Amino acid sequence: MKSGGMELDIVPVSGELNVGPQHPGSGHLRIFVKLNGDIIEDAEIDPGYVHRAVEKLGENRNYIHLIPLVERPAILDSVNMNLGYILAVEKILNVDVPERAQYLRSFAAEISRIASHLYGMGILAIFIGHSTGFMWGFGDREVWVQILEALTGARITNSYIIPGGVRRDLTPAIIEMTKKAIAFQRKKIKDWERIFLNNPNIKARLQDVGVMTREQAIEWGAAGPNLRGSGVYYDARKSEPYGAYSKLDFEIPVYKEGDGYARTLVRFEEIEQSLRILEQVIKDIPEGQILSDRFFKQIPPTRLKKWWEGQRRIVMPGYYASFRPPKGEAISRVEAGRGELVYYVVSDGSAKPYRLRMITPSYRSIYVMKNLLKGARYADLVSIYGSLDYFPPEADR
Amino acid sequence: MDSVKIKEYKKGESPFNVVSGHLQAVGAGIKYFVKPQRITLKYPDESMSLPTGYRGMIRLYKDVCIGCTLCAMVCPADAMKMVTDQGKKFPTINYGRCVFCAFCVDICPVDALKETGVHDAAFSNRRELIFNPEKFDQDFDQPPLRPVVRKVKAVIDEDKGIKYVPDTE
Repeated sequence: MKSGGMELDIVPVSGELNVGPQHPGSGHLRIFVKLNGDIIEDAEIDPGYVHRAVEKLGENRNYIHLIPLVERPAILDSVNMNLGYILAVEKILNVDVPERAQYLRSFAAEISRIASHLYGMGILAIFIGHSTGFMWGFGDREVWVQILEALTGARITNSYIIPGGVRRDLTPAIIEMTKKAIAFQRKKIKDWERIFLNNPNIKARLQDVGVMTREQAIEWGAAGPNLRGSGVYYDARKSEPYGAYSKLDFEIPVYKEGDGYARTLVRFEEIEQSLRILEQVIKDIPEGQILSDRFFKQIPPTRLKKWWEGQRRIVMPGYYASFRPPKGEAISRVEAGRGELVYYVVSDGSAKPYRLRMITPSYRSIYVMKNLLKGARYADLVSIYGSLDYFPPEADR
Repeated sequence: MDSVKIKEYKKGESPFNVVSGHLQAVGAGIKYFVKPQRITLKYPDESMSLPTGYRGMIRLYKDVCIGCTLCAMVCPADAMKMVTDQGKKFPTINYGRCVFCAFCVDICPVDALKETGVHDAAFSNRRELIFNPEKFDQDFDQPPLRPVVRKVKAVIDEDKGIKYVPDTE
């Protein structure tokens, strides 16, 4: 090609590119990308860089020891991870959970969901070059983390939910904090819309990128907001209510398009729905105990007086140190921030589970991502990755 | 089940909307440039006081402890181990392993363990992370090399998100 005296040879480039595994905008995940020009011909996803063998470790630890462990894979969504595991253990133990504890579980789970979505949106923003969104996502998340800190005593490693109930009660100070945080988040979402969602740059990067039709989403096994972004109405909170969700009024946002923008919109509308749930929990939460009677009765009366009546905190009876549930198996489903999370626990009557199976929503995004990357432009790799809100430690477990 | 409402967003915008979209984004940026929502804590000068019930470092009350070993049994990370001291059992803690779940504090039948709410600590070698019962029996106090100028408290604010106010306690 000759133009203006300059000679330029365009050579079609094809080859393989290794993206990752050390977080070059891919998370802790390696993607082998086969390129033709800047079109991705094929992508091979290679998870496992942050594999921590949670399932195997689960076979060597007591039931109570697993609470901090199962939180670790998705540390930014720890309440939901904890809740799913406890629901499975409670099914084996056959415990009734008091109403107030159910509401508190939903309360903590929704705060965790908001924090998780804000984190995911922040990561998506920085992936597509919008560093303001990254700062905002992490800054707004801090507000919710502060509430969890006041409620549970730890910022993110909450270990809040125990078999039979929860560890601490809601206090008027936390209710006040939550009300302010809800007002703040509503205002901030307006600004999020201005700077992020309605920003033509963001729209250009996300609209019609990584399009997944309804049929494809079902066939590829997408989960959570990714599935709902493709027009499938499915949410474990509605199809199999746990916690207090059967008594709470909320909607499931579903979008038809199935592209990255639709998935982002689903996440933002879920934040709004979670805020609504929090308001209802604050209003409707019944009085009462936060630990099942069966365990509550085992707490020594002097301790009960000091902790439960004095500080609205549950202390554990010695039973928890090494309890042996009856033989049996249980499966539980919860809607975690990134989608449906399944636990399968088999008990052989000893103090340790015989088997702990954990199916995390991010793991199900791997096949979706592989398929969406085929035929996309290389520059859209991060956009597809970010819009799926894939979290490598959660997938690797 | 509720009525299923599948939404669609509006595609294909007019050039006018694109321009106004850019202007709105820049406008929002300017708004936060003038009134920033900065939440950075200038740590050595400002230090955050933690809420009551914060699960920080743990201390032992040796005279209360009955040596029942429940804390060592419930510890998920095997950070707590029992040692025998003059014929009595006491827990030791290894902060290199501790995950600060405070299960030990909750399970102790005589309240011999307590969360202190201190969490800024630094150790120069790994042996120091293991607290024997004598060291564990004292309040953990590691005065900073440069004294903290002021203590602040994080308060949630409707406009700013998080606001730091001086802690008056």
